[in-house]
Amino acid sequence: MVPHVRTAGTRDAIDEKGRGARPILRPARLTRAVRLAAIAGTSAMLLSACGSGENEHARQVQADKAATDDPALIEKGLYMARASDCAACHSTEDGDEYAGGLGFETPVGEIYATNITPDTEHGIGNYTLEEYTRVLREGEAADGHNLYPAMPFPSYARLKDEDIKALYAWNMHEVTPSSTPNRESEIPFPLNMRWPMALWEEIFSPLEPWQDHEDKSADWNRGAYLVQGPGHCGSCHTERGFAFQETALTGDEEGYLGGAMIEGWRAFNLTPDMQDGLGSWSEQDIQTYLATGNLKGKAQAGGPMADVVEHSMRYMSEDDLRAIAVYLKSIPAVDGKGEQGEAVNDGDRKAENEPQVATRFNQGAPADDVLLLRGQPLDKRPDDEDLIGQLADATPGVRLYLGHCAMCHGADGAGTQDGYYPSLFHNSVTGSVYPDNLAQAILNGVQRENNGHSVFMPAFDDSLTDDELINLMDYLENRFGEGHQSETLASPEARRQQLSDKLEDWRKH
Amino acid sequence: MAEESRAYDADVVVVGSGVAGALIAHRLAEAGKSVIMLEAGPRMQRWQIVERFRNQANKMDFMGPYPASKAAPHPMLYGENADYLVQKGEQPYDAQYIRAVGGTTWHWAASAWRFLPSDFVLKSEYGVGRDWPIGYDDLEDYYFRAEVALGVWGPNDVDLGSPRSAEYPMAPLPLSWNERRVSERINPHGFDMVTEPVARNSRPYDERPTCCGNNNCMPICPIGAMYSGIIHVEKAERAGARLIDNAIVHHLESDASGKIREVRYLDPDGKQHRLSAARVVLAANGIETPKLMQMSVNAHTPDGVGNQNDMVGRHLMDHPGTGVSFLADEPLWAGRGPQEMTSIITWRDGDFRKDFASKKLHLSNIARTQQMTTEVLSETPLRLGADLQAQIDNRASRYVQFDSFHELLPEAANRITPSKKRDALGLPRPEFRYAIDDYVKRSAAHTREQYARIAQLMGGTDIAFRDEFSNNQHICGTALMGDNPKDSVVDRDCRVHGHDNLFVASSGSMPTVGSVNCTLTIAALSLRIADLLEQEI
Repeated sequence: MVPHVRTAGTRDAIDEKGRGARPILRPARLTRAVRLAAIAGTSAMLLSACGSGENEHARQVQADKAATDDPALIEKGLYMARASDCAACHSTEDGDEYAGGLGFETPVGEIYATNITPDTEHGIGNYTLEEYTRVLREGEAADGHNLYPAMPFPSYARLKDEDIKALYAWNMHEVTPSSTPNRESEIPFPLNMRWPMALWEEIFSPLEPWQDHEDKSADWNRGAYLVQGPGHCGSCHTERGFAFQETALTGDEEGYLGGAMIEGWRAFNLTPDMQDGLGSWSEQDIQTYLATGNLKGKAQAGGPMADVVEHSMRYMSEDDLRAIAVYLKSIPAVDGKGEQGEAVNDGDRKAENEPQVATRFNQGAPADDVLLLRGQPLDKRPDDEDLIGQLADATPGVRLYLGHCAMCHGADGAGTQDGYYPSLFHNSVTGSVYPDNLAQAILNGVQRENNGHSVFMPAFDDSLTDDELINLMDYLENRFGEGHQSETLASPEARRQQLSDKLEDWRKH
Repeated sequence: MAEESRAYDADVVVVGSGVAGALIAHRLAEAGKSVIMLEAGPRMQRWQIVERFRNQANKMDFMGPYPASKAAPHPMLYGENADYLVQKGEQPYDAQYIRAVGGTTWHWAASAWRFLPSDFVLKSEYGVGRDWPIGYDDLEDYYFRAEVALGVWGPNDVDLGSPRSAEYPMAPLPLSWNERRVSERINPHGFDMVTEPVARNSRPYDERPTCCGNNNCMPICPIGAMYSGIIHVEKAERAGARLIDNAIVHHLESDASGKIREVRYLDPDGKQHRLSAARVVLAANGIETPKLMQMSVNAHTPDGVGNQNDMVGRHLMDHPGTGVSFLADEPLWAGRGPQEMTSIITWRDGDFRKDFASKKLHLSNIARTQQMTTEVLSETPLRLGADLQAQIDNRASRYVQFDSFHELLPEAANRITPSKKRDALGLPRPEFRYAIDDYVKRSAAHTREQYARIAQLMGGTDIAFRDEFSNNQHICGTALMGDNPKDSVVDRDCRVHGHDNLFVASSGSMPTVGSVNCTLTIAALSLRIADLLEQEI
């Protein structure tokens, strides 16, 4: 059950006929929504007000709307909508804002995110505050049908009344109504029956609205709320169980935010585990990363996390980002499933400041293979007899690296001083035992917009054969990460096989 | 239409896969037409071109990273194809072009200029050259569409003389220190040194990254921030067009009505293949296109296709260039950012065009470290250590070079023909008769005076003029456009006179060469042809 979807039309978005050229950066931001869609769900949200209650209901809607028509409340609601990243699933590049339409591919049929604009016919314009609260916290639409947990209501159950009210104010007064109709799910009967989801909700969505812990700091409380509730970090970063439920919803439960696989990407371990998690990060590091997607010398956001930074986290206040950091530093460390190799004493300029324990952030060393290959004709392979012995550690990936990557990341892989082109050693993606994000970055590139700055790495999926990709990754892991060189990990041959086995899945995403 | 196309191998066969052919193939494939592109050369991978460049000794050999195909050679600086072009005139026509999938825009500096309105009416305005059968206004919209397709940055706040209906797709990158300082120092003295429009990304655009300043646009942009024809080849293929590489077209078979019935090509083993199409587009540059047309002799076309009035291959033009170099009195450090971002446009237009050629001067921003190192090491006594380093730094940081394009007028005597000398497949090599007239030479003398003024303004020493004309690879005029079939090859739609289903998409169709790089005009004309074909098929 690997759900996947690609935002359509990422190619050829330039239309020569079109006046007013626009950048065609098309963040694949919505793909992450799919992570939740293994259990198919759609919320058609067809409103049915019935019988004698009809007028009363309409009056209540009007009353709730009137009561929330307050600029300050609306502003707060916008902030919460960003904290909750509603747009990620409910907006698409081509459609009206918040009008739904994102496809979720499931094994039993396609389902679509819904129109959450205040349109009274196709959207949620006829929701009372109470109904709005119920759909957010319990996944139950106004007409009584239950949502599939593509909607992260197990996390939104944490939302405070005041924040739901603010969200309601923003949603009803700020979002432009769109008459985009909801697309019916393509799931056939009887799989499309909704009542089992009510049962699912009973079992797997136990959280109550957030209550501050008196014994904790204000930062901790705010951070815990944001992480567990609106931010719904666990939706990606916590392992899922047999029924696609998150196996832990708070730091009190084992495995919370310990990392998980999502659509061919690794959502990394966010707990303070030293090797696999964020144990070696300061609170400021976490803030910087969330605000910019770039923590020089450690990690850069790509793929789904780049979207989270772009559409959600960068809008958070400094106080809130600090609160998130405080909370993340406080939760129990989850032992990484992958073992990390030893830290390399590479004489790097930053080595003195690095923790002495090996982490996925301090692996690898600068490369110097270029020195031996420079001036050699292209057909001269590192395994040529003339060069054997000179290039003891080189693999066929050296040339691929120099020809594809070195022009931006440098022949030594150190990137640029300003960090725009990241270093490839001391980099979470090359240093991790999980090869997935490295492969995804190479195949799909990286796109991130942030406060007027564009971060862009081109996609190489069309220009690398399977063999070339494995050779290149082999080189990158060897040179810039610890990867499979560690004795405790698979042999080089086994590692290549491992990569090869995952290729199909990576190419798909 | 459907009925007709069933009888053919494709709706359209495009000969050549450079920017012209690829743009047409892409648009027609997008419109649902069946398209076959035939490319004489092989496929090349960008990363391999990059690595060949990085590991070659002479970094100024822009052809080195593109080894010539045995079956479809192109001119090389060294080796067996150094004399691929046969020179018979008083001035060698030293063109460089690439026969490979994607074409010659693999290596260009990406200058993406529009012509001036007056460039289209040279004869009626100034009494020299020819008028185009179409005017600037006919092309304006296509110019813009070409700018969007290629991804062009340009200065919205500077009037470059070519009226615009919309802003450039991208804003320019900031000028390098070199370009900023030189323009600051010379512009107050009557020079108009401006940021030039180029097809290079200043932000992520069309799934390609921002220029990261490797400073080797020529011979290869290593990251695809600079546009090249391969971009639209790949788009065309994704849209359903089929590309056959190593397909050397050697004959266009015409019937009595003038219709091209067959396109015949050889594979590298010399085996012949035939394709038929409702329309055929020749987009194999201004040399191979007229060569092919003249080679296509049969009973109906005894002088070659479209050559009933002996016009094909004539009026060969280029922008003969001269140069100057000197060491400025301050470090400028050419080499940061792209290889060229500015031009002096003071003499692109004016009454002087009655007497001498219009022109554009441009400052090179190519890093000169290798060149200066070679120079220092060639001197005696040999410098070593810190002294050597200091000398290299001193010269590479202060080296300034300007080059120029002069507008050559269309002269029937300047021509390209199929030579009796043959290539490996036994096909004729291109043969040139070419001369540069006084119209250009008078302008070059004036240019030399401007060079001297610039050197003086920059406190220049070690001033070296390069008076010998160099070729700038803007191969124009050889299948030129006109309303009268007696003195032109294609009509105003770029359709070959006398051959209703044959089109030329190439700088060859341009009746005059103006004073600026011709690629954007090629692209605009190609998009115009694509529009027409979309309606006709």
